[in-house]
Amino acid sequence: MATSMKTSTKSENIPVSCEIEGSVVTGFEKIAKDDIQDKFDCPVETHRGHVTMTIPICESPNALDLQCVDNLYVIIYQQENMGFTGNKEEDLKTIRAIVPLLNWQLGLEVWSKFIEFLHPVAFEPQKLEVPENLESASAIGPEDRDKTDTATTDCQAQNDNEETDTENHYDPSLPKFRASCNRTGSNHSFQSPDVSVQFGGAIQDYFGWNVDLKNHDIEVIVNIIDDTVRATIALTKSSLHRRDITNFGQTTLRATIAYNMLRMCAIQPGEVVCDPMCGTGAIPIQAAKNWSEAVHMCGDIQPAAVAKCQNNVNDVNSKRQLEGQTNIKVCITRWDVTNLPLKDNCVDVFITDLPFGKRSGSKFDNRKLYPDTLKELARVCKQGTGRICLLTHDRRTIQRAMHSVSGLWKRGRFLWTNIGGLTAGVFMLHRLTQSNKQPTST
Amino acid sequence: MKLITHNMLTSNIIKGVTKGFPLKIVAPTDKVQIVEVDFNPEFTSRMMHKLDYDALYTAAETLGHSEGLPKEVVPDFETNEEFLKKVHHVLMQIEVQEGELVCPETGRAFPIHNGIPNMLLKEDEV
Repeated sequence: MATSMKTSTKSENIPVSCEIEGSVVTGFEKIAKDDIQDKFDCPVETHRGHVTMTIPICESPNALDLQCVDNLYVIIYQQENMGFTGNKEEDLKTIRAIVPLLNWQLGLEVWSKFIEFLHPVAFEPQKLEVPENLESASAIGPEDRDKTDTATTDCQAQNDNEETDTENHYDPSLPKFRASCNRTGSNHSFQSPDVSVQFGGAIQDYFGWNVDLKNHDIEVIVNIIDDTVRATIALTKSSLHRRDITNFGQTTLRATIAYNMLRMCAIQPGEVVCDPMCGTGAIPIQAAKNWSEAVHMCGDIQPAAVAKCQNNVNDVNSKRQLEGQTNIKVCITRWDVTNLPLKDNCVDVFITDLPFGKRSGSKFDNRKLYPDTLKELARVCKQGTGRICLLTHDRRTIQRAMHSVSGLWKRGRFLWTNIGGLTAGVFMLHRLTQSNKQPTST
Repeated sequence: MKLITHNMLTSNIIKGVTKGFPLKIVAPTDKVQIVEVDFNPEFTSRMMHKLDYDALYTAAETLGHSEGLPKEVVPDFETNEEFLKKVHHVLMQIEVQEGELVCPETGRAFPIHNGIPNMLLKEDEV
């Protein structure tokens, strides 16, 4: 058995650090890692779909300020080589058995810093007896029932009622909880609903907590990847990407994706950053919030987009004023990206979410739009030091377009990500210096 | 529209126009606002290297907000905080809400509405 927490004890076995897990949109894990290391100067590991940071417990709420992650969790158990046998009943029993081994003390201590609950939550069961075989532990439950049915009964209760099952009284001094399971692997004898039922049942037996699948105070998650099990407690009720946009468009980009793309551009103070197809403004708003020493411009061809972008900026600023923060500065113009009303060589960073050709625009239109855009951006982008960061699903068209302007740009970093179920690529291009070409007019 | 944006906008998008910078600003006095923006001397100093200072001065003068701003760039402006503060004021704190940007070559007017310039051309102008 292993918990990988640092438990450098001061007194009474109280750990000082915890491992916080942050979910990250696929593809951006390394970028999120760099961002967290810059901000917190702490050890960070990348995994598929998430990063793990080791930070002092007292500083853990600072994780809410991170711009690169969606949801936060505290890790309370990690075990490789669980020893699943392939027998469903045995394997589910193995999972149930980990409940008393989870680091509840640490987990609940961290959880209490993020989520308010009116009563203190005990990290140990309040009964005297802690039975070895949980399946027959009728002593621990507040009622007498044949325990082999408990899971099913709980399952029924969990599925049918929002409140606890009819045989448990709802106890307002105890938290409402929910157990969830994420499972990846081809050889499991069980499926995730089986696990969440068993795992949840075991937790309820252990603590006597109330069950509520929707309005829970505590969510305990068990992640099973092949033979590895990782249990966490959720620290965010709502994903951190839900911020700063009030006026949505059809394809508004998620704030955390916008932020991670901006990180790739390595924006310096005093640089001019531009999103020439800004839509509702997701990218310029994250840029202006987090890189306040750069100039942020954006534009779009559609009047509805420009209006929504302005509304979003205004709403962000109203909120910031209430919180005593300074306004963000975003300069919006209505323009055609293929015919930009900007001087040559004046923008340092272009960053945009290109129309994929699915919900916005069309692949047919992209065939002209993409190369025309790259040519125009080349004119306006600062030679030698300028760069662009493009997100698109239409890989073939962007690659053809990059080919057509290959003398102007050098290809940089590339990564795959997933946008609403579509595989999309993020392409960095660096503006070459054109010493041999004819000077263009100003 | 802030003057920092104006300092980068041109009407060279119009067919045949090659000297479309700087655009002339036409705006009624009551549609020009002053907003407060935090002063950051390093930021302003860096922007100085990218700006067309003459265009900035002319624009500020047209709007009637050039008092105190020197007509020419002060030597070693990087450390002259008083100068940078004045530049910051005209660059970031003046906002044109309604008006027009006029092409110096053709006289074509681009409207500014709600602080947003509309630089889209009609088909025959491209």
